[in-house]
Amino acid sequence: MDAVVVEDVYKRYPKYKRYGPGTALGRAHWVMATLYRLKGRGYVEALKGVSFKVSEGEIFCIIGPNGAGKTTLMKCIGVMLIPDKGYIEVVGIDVVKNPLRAKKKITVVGSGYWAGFDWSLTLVENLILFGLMYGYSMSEARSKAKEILDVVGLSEKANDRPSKLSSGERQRLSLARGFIAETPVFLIDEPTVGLDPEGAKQVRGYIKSEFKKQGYTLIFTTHFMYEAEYLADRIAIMDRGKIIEIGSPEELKLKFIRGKVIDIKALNVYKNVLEKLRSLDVINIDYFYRFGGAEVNLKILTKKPYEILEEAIDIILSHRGSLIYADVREPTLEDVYRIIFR
Amino acid sequence: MGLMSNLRVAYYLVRREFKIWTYYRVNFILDIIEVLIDLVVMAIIALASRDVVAPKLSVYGGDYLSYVVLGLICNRILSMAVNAPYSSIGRAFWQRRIELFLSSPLNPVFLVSALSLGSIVRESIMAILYLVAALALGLRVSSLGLTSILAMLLGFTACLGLGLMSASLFYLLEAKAGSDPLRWIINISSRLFSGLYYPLEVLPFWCRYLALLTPHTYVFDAVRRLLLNGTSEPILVVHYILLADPVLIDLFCLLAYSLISVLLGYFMTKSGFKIALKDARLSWWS
Amino acid sequence: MVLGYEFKKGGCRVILNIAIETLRSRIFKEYFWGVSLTMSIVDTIVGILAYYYVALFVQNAMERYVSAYGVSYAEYLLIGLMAGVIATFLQYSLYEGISLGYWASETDLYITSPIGLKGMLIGHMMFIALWESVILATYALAALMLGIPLHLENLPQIVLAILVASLPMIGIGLVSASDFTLFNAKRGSMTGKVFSILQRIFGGYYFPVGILPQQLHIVSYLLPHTYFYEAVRIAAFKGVWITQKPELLYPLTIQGIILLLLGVLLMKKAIDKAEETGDLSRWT
Repeated sequence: MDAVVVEDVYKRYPKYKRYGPGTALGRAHWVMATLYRLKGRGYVEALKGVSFKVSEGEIFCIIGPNGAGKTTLMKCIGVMLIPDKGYIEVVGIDVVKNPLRAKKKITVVGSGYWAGFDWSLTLVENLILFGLMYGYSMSEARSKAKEILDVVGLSEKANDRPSKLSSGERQRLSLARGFIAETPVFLIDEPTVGLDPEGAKQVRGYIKSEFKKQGYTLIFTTHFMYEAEYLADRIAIMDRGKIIEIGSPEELKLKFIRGKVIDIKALNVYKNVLEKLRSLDVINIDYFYRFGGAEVNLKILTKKPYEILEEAIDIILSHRGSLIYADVREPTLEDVYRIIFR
Repeated sequence: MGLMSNLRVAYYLVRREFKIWTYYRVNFILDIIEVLIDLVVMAIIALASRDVVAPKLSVYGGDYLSYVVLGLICNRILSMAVNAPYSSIGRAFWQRRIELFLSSPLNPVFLVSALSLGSIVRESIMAILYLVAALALGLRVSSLGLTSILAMLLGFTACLGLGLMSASLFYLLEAKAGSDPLRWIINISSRLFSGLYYPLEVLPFWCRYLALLTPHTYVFDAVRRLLLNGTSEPILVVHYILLADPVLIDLFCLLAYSLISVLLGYFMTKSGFKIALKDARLSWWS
Repeated sequence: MVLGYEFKKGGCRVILNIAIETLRSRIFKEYFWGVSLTMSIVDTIVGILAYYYVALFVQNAMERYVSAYGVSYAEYLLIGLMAGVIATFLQYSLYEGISLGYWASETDLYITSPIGLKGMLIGHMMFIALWESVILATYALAALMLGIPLHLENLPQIVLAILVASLPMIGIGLVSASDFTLFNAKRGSMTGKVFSILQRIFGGYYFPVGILPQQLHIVSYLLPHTYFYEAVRIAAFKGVWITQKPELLYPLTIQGIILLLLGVLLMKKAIDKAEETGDLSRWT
């Protein structure tokens, strides 16, 4: 059965002035806002006919550049935004017609949600409140809160206030709030943003093991390609409000990359050398300079990796470059992303 | 969500409100004292002038101290009902909580009410403190009858309806800066034209028409007449038009006000949230 | 040492530029500022009218308490309210500037710069001064509409009284501002609140001190506000120079010196503590 069905969803919203932190809204701001709305400043087309399905128990990832519409899509599925057209169903419930019923089946964890916690309540007290909102009794909510804090590694700080947490810990608290509800569908916007490597590893490990064990359906977004590749059963690539590709990581790699990737790290490699490298039989070359241009990382995508590797090393050395490192590897999702969005 | 679940959430939100309120302890004590200062200041002025102004207050029993102090207590309760819904949404929005709360399966109108409940309970405690202070300062009232309680309840309901309407403007009109046009008008009207600090006879006669705008006018009139052994002399414009007992007229007006304002408030709040969800204006990060 | 550097390196010009920029941003960041200001003016007028009608109602009764000034109770009250606007500005604007800057995350921007928060705070206070000037003008306009004389013929005496009587208010302002970091008072200055409470009952703000029971007069005599309002009122109503009233001049001067010194000392401690703990940055 499909846990989530998204059919031909469109969403545009009017352009408004956004208020950043530090904006002092005058008392008559409502006058300005009303006039602004009457004038009409055009629309932002956030979603243009998005369609896909996610099976029960599947881990589904949405990736794409900033402004692709990932968060808008997540919010539409999570009943935080009403789409203009189209149909969205979660566990058989139409999210537009039955929003409250649908919300009982969905947990949304947004990036930055930690800011919404009450800073005058302890972590446990904050989580108890969310447990109550999902229908737990007081004692159930309390024991669930303590259990979840243990899972995310915050049990020692259970009686502290959110203001005392580091940014990584706050992100873990956001996730804890998400896990307390135990709904069949989870929507998580960037699960490991702000976490240190160990913390991120723990969260990914938890998602990989627990979600599969419990049979939860997860839709998440991320900017870390290796995270998407590690966790997701299928990945959707979005750009400018549309889904341009869907498939498993392997399917996407096979579709977009026929060949392997040569990783080279070298010194004193300049534009003339890059031109020469481009003239070889390669599909794509990406390069990143460090230390003011002294060091370069090259990623060369080619169907003849070993042949091209030899030629590339020859070119670098003949132009007085120094080789630090060279290797041939299988392409990753990050390479796919770079090919699509170059 | 069942009734018990909703009640648990409401209870916890009230508890949370108290925790927030008392988090900064010194500020908490000073806030209480500051709130009582208005009462003390007016009481001092009233005590100094009560003998001289007594004849002008014969409709309301003649005691200026009791007149003004009772008005302040009622005003406190009514203001709480008007302000609580808006300030609850405003706080949840600016403290970035609204998205968190609304991502849960709580009905949005229930959520606003539950968030407001904390403020209402807190302000009720303040109103009781007000009453104790007022009694200590010399407030003299006859026994609290059912009619005066009814007048207060109807006034409270009417003001709560106005509060919901005002809260809906947070999204309907983008009135996000702590001030919406509805409450602005109500505050002006209640301060100047409702008879809070002085009887309406002090004002030009045309101001009595403006007095009809707010439920406060009817509540002050009814409660003062009932608790201060007032007379049946007509004061408000509606008293002259409807020609019945002034207190009955006040109750009737409050009842009509309550029905209209609560219904309007409910639908406007629902619409406000719907529009916010549609236009991606629900939270700071929409 | 830092101030010396600033003078030498033209830092004062930088501070002034930041101050003007802050002033401009406070004005124009308020969306639809014109209408906001109009609403605030209307609110002020409503407040004045409410006080006026109360004064009208109790006029005959309060006659005996204000007869020494030779004015009506409405006049007595209005001049007190206008003086209160100035006192409020002096006592709270610095705290408010710090608080606003903190909650708007502006302090994070400025404390990493060489000139620190000075420019931002000066700019904020300029904005509040501008705003309060408009409010004072509204009071004056309302007084004219209600037929209450403002005694502008005694303006020099009024100005001198305000200047002298401001010293303790500025001291209180510094003490209030120090609350922010010294006592972690991020939701309102405790000092400010205490003085606000005291001045409203004991300071002669709404009514003459003589109304209060004799035993409470001692509190009034200890408050600088009592002398502040009294000085302004007798300057306005009787054209008396404050220098001709030693019973006002000396307490104001002594309290002014004490409060200023205390304010400077506490501000220094507050700044030191802020540097130590990072309390002025919201995102530590």
